[in-house]
Amino acid sequence: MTDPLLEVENLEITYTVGAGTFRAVSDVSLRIYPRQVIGIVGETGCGKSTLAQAIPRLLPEPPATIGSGRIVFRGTDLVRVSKRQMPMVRGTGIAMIFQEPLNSLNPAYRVFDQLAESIRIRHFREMGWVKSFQGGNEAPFDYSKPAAPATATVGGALTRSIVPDGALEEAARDRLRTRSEYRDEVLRYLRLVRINDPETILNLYPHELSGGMRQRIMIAMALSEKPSLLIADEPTSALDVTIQAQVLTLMKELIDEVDAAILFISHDLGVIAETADEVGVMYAGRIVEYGPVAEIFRSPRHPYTKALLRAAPSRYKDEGPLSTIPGSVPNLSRPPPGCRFHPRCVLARDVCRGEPPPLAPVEAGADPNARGVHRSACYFAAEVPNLP
Amino acid sequence: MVATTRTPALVRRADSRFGVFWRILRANPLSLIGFVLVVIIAVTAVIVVVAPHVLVPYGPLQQTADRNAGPSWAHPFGTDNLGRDIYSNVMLALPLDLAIGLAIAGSALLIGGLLGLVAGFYNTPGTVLGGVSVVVLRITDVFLSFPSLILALALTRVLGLGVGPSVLAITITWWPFYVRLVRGEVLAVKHLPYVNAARAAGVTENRILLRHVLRNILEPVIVYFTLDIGTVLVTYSTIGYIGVASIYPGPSPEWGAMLAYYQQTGSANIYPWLVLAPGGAIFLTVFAFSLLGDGLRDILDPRTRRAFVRSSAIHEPPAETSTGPAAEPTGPEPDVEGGVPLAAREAHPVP
Amino acid sequence: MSDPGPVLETERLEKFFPITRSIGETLHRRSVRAIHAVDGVTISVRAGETLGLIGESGSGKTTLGWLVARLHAPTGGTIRFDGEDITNLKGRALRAWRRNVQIVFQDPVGSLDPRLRVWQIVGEPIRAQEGLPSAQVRDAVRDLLPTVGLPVDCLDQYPHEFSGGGRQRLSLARALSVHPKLIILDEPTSALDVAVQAQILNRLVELQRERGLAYLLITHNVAAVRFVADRVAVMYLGQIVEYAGVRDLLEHPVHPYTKALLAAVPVPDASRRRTRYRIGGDIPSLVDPAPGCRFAPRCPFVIERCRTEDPPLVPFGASGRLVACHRAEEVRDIAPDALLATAGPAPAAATGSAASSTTAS
Repeated sequence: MTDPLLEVENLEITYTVGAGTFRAVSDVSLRIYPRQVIGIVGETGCGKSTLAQAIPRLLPEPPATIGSGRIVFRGTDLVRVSKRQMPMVRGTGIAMIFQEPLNSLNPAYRVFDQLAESIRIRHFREMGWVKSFQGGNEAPFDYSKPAAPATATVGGALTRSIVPDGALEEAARDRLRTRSEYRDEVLRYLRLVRINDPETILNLYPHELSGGMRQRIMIAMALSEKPSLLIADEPTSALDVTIQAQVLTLMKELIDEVDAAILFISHDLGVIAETADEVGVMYAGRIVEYGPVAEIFRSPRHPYTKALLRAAPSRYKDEGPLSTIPGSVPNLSRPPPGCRFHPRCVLARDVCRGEPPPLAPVEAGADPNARGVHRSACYFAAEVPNLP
Repeated sequence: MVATTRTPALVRRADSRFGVFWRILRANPLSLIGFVLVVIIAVTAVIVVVAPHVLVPYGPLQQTADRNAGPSWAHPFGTDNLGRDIYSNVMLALPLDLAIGLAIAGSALLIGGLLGLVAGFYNTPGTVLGGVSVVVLRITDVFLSFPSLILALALTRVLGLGVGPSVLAITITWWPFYVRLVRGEVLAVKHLPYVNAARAAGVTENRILLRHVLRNILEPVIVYFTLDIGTVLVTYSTIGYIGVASIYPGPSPEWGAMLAYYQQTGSANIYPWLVLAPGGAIFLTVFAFSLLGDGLRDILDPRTRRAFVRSSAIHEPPAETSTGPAAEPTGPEPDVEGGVPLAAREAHPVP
Repeated sequence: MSDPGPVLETERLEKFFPITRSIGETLHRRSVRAIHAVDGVTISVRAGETLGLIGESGSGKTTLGWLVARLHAPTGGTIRFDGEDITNLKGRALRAWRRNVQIVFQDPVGSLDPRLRVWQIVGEPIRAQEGLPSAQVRDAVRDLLPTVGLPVDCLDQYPHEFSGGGRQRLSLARALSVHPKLIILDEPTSALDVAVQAQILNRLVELQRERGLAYLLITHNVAAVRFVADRVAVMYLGQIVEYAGVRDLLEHPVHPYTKALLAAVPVPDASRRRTRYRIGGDIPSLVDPAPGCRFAPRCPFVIERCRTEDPPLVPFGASGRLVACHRAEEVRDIAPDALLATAGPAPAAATGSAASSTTAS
C-alpha cells in the first residue's frame, strides 16, 4: 500500500481584496498517488485554479491567505514551508504547466536557452551544488505549538544533501557542462514531446512558434525537471481543436512513459474524461463530487454534476431547448449557508441550508479513505439518478 | 442602495462614484496626503490672490527692521539682509508658480493631445489625414531628440527674457511628450471590439473618436498630466534659477529666482533659511502633485477600482425556484492570473 | 409563396492583407506578398435560417464575418444583401445600410465601452441610425432589455458590473436594437461557462423563431452548431472545404478535414482515454499559399494530385452538399473515428522514447 504523493487536507484559502474577503477554496481534501492522473473540473470562479496554484505555493500571499489545512507533499507540509524554501520543492518535486504558454515562456529567450536552463538547474541539484528538497517522514505538524517551527521541522530535511560523502568532490571536478552537451539533452526532451526535427526550432523565440509548439515546449520544460507531480492548469484551453487533440494525445502517451502523477485542471468535461483516472467536481470553492471518471460521467451523484453534464448541447442528438441551471454562481464573499449549490438545486430542502453536506461515499458502508471511492457532497445523492 | 420592489433583491445599485473614491483614498494613505496637500496648496493660492492680507503680512519688497533674522513667530521663514520677509515672498510666489505649472502642462496637453489623437486615429496610409499624421510624428521625433531643458533655454534666447517668453519656450518643448503619450493610448484602444461595434452601428469616425476613444484614454493621460505638473515646475524653476525668467527681488517673486538670488549672493551659506524656504516650497508642491498622481492612478484604474466597489449587479434571468434566497449576484473575481509569476521554475543563484 | 431570395449572398469573396516589406513596395502600392485571409468564398443565408461557419484559427471565418458586416472592404468578389450589391458601399450610404446587419463579438469584456452606461451602449445603434433624443433612446432600450433576459433597472449601470453572460446579453440587445435582418455571431459563447452558454443559445434560437432573423454563426463549438444552425460551412485556410446541412455534416462528414475536426473534439466519455489522435502538423501560414489542396500536408488520404491541383468546391451527392476534395467519393464512408487510434493497455506500445525518461546525470 503506497503512501500518497500529495495529500491536501481541509484546505481553506481566502482572498482579501479591498471591499471584502472571498472564500475561494473551502474545506478541500484531495489525495494523489504516484502515477495517477487526477482531474479537477468546474466552471469559472469555482476555485480550481486557486487550488492548483496553491499547491506549489504560487499564489500571491498578500491578497491570498491559506487559512488552515495542510498540503502534504512527500511527507512535508508545504503550508508550513517558508516562502524562501519553496523554490527547492518546486524544482524537483512539483512542476506546473499553464494555460497560455505565451505568458509562461520568456519572450526574450530562445527555445534552447529556456530548456537548457531548467536542465541546468536540475543538474545542479543532482550535483548537490544547490540545496534540494528531501521529503522526510516527519510527524504531522502540531498546530498547538507556538510558531517558528517551520525551519525546525523542514530545515534539516531541506539541507540534507542527496549526494553521498566524497561524491561532491568528484562532482566538482565535473565542471559545468558545455553548451553542446546541454544541446543533446535539450533535443532529447524536445523529441520526448514529439517535436520532429527539433534542431530547427532551437534558435527560435516563443513568438515565432505556434500555440501547440509552445505548449509542447512548456511540457518539455516541466518534464526536464523530473517532477514527481505535474500540475497542468487548463493546458489546452487556449489551443485550436485539432492542436488540442494532438497535445492531449501527447499527454496521454507521456502518462504511460514518464513516472509522474498529474493533476489536471480543466473546465472542459470532455478533456477531463479523456485524460483523468479520477475526477473531482468543484463548485463555489468546494469539491462536490469525486470518483473514478467512468462512474462520474456515467452516473453522477450530485445535482450539480448532473446538471453540468446535461447543459452541454449534444453533437449527435437533436433536442429541444437546452437545459440550464437556474440562478448564477454565488458571490464567494457571502456564500449561501449550508450547501452552496442549494439556491439553484432542484432537490433542495431545509436540511441543505444547515450544515454543509460532507463528501461522503455514495455506497453506504464504503471506506471514504480507500482509493477510487465515488463520493458526493449531497444529502440526497441517492435521488440524483432519478433526475431527468 | 436601491432594491427593486418587484423581485427580491435581484438588482442592487452599485456604490456611488464618490463612495468608491473615498474608500480608495482611505486605503492608500499616501495618496490621501497628496490629495489633501494639493487642496491646501490650491486654496492657499486662491486666498493669496484674492485676499492677500489674510496670509501675507508684508509686501515683497517691504523692508523691515529685522535684518537677517532667523525663523521666528513674526517672520516664519526669517528675513534677508534688507529685512524682506521671506515667508511673504514665498507665499506671493505660490500662485505664480502654480499658474505657470498648470499653464505650461495644460497647453502642452491641449496641443500635443490634439495632435496625438489625430495622429493615432486617422493613420490609414494613403489618405490625406494619414499623411498629416506621419508628418506630425516626424516633427515630434525631431523635438524629442533634443534634451528639453537645453531646447527651452535656447528658445528663451530667441524669445527674450521674462515670464511670458519662458512659459512659451517651455510649452514649445513640452507638447511632443503628449503627442507620444496620447497617440500610444489611442493606438491601444482603436482596435478594441467596442470601437468596431460602434462602426458596425453606423457611427461616424469622428464621433467614435470623441465618444469612445477619447473617454477611454483619459485615465493614463490625467495621471501623466498630474505628475507632469511637478516636472514642469522644476523645469521652470531651473530656468528661473538661471535668471532668464523672473526678476528677484521684485514685485512678483518666483521660487527659482529667489533660490538663484540668495545662493548667488552668498547669503545662503550663512543664512540657510533663505534658500530652504523657496526650495522647500518647490519640493512640497512637486511632492504633493506626485502623490496625487499616484493616487489617481489607483482611483482611475478600473481593476483596482472594481475591487473597492461594494456590490455588483447583474444578473441572469430571475430564478424560477422560490426556495431559498434569490440568486446572489456575482462579485468581482479575484485576479489570480495577474499575480502569478512566470513558470513554476525559479532560477537559483549558483553558490 | 414567392421566394424573396437569400438575405445575404457572397460570390467568390476575397480579402487579402498585403504585407509590405520595403518603401519601394509601399510607393508603388504593389505588394509581393499577402495574407490570403479569405480566398474565394461563396455562401448564402436566407431569412429565418442560420449558417454556421466552423473552423480553427487561420480559417478566415472571423474575417468572413467582418467582411459580411462590411467592417472590412473586400479585395475581390461581391457581396449582395437583399439583392443589392454592397461590395463597394462607402460613407453615408454604408452607414445607413448598417442597420441591416449587426454583429455580436466574441470578447464580452472588450465589446462594451467600459465608460458608458448600459442605455448608451445598447442604444448606440438606435442613436446613430435614427438620431433620437436621449429620453427616447432610454425608452427603447428599456423595452428591449427583457427580450434578452435582463432586468429593466440596469439601464444606468456599467458593463463591469455584469458577469460574462450578462455582457453577452448586452451585446445581443445592442445588436437587436435596430431590428437587423442578419446578425453575425462571432463565437458568442466561447468565453462563457457551459450553463450560461446554454441560456444564451436557447435565447438565440427563440429570438430567431420570433423575429425571422438570419444568423451567421461563427464558432468552433461543434455541438452549438448542431443546436442553432441549419446549414454549415467548414473553413480551412481561407476556403470552404465542405458545405452541407448540419445533420448531414455532423453524422456523415465527407471532407478529410471535417473528419479530422470532428474526431478532435473531446467527448465526455471515459472510454476515450485510450484513443490517440492521428492527425499531425500545425496550421500553416496564410501567406501566399502554395497551389494544390491546402490540407494536403496534413491529410491522411493525400495523393499526388492533391499537391498540385486545387480541388474545386463542387456538389456532392444529393441534398445540396458541396465538397472540395479530389477523393471525396473514395473517402466518403470513412468515419471520423477512424482517425483515432486506440492504444493498447500496455505502455510497451510506446516508441523508444520511453527509455529517455531515465537520464544519466
